Amino acid sequence: MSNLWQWLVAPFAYQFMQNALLASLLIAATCGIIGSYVVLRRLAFIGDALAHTALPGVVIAYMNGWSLVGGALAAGIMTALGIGWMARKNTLREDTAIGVIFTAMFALGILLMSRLQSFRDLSHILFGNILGVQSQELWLMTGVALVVLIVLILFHKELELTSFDSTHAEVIGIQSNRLRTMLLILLAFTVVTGIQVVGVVLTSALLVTPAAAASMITSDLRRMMMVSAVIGAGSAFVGLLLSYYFAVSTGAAIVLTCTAVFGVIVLVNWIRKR
Amino acid sequence: MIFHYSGRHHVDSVPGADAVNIRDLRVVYDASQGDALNCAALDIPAGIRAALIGPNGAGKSTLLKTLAGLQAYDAGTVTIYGRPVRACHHRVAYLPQRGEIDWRFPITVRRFVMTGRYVHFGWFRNPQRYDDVLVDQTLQRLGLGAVADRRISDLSGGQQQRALLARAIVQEAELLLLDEPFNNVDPETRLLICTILDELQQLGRTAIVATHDLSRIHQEFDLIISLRAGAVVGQQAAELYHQAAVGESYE
Repeated sequence: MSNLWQWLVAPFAYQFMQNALLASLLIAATCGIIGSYVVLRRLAFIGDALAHTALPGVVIAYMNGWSLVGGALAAGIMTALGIGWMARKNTLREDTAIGVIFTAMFALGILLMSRLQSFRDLSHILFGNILGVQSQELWLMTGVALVVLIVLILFHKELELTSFDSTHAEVIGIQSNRLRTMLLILLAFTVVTGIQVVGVVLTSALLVTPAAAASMITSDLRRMMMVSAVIGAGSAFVGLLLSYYFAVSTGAAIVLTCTAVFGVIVLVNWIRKR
Repeated sequence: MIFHYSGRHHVDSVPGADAVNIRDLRVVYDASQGDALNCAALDIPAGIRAALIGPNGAGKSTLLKTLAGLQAYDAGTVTIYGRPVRACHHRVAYLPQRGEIDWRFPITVRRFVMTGRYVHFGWFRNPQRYDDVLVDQTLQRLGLGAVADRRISDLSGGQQQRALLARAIVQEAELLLLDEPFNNVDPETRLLICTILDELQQLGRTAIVATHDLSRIHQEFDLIISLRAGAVVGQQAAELYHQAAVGESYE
């Protein structure tokens, strides 16, 4: 028993592992909560787009010596507003328009990146850099998580209603477009912090996988959010340990742990239905 | 303190006004297709049950959506109890065709029906004891007591329609707009819906119902409005409509 305890606790003797643990628990839980809306409102593609469009923001910020997180946030918010604007326009199908714009933004990021010589620094953006989280960034992430949670709690009943019946919401005077844009901005905030943990490429997994797993075992949105947060945070902890002991990529280990939980739930459901 | 969903949250109705007055209304989706709705004049008195009939694409849904404030119109005037459309969000309940709602969303029947109260809460406020009691009574009245804590995805077509009606009842709206409530519902649900509309009429409420089902229309409604290709082509008391229909079938 004490051996197991030792095994679980030993890695966190290091300051960088403590920071990594706190950051990944916080971010995975936040992603799990807002991810419930991503799954139920079918926003997975938009979540992916928000993560990818952060790249040019980061590169431009890097080139000018601005805050990288600030650059990612600015790009994410611009994308969220752009998507909200396109949704009202109706000229192109929304997913097509997003597909065109987000690949272009990502390509722009890569282009700018190739002009810089220090490609290595920015590879953290692509694959995450949870082990390099500084205490100062940890505060920023805590702030973002708090803002996201408070707004989600305050607007819970309206966000829930517009997710399954925007018609009724409109009839009683709720502007569902504005709520959607607000949700996308929160999503941009969350995604930017998610990039720290697993990088641009895998962030949508943190949003989608825990929430998808949770959706199979609860029948209430609030419970789904809680279960999803627990799955996300639990996977972050396990993934961090695995990456420490087996010397593998942390972001990938966290994502695959989420996937494993999802797989177990699918299997249990399948067996129970037989 | 209540933070209403929109500035125009409560406007008194004009005393003695009709439930609906329409003058020279035009709705155009696509100019090359002609008018989706073109209604020179339509008056629906308060406190009656009106049926909207007509073939698919006649404009029944468009008319209901216009009254609900969901469909912008291109010309004309529409008033609800003497006030412009959307002047008072409390007053109008709209029951969409069932396909417009995501029934797979994880929410219980009880909470679904509670969303009918939201217009009275506004932002940041949650149900009080009175709301819980009202929802509970309404669920019982509509035979949904046993499924109140199940997910809406578990409901049958008839139960879904009853849940929609329950939501409109707890909203305490004066004008109910129902789009095809009799589609794919069991006979008991149909009877229950008609009984409830009857009771609401006793309370002075108005119902406008788009329907394909003409079998007992003269008993279930007071006024029959026929639409064809976006225009009102007939409007008569249900009893006369029945006599005319019977007359036709004898010829």
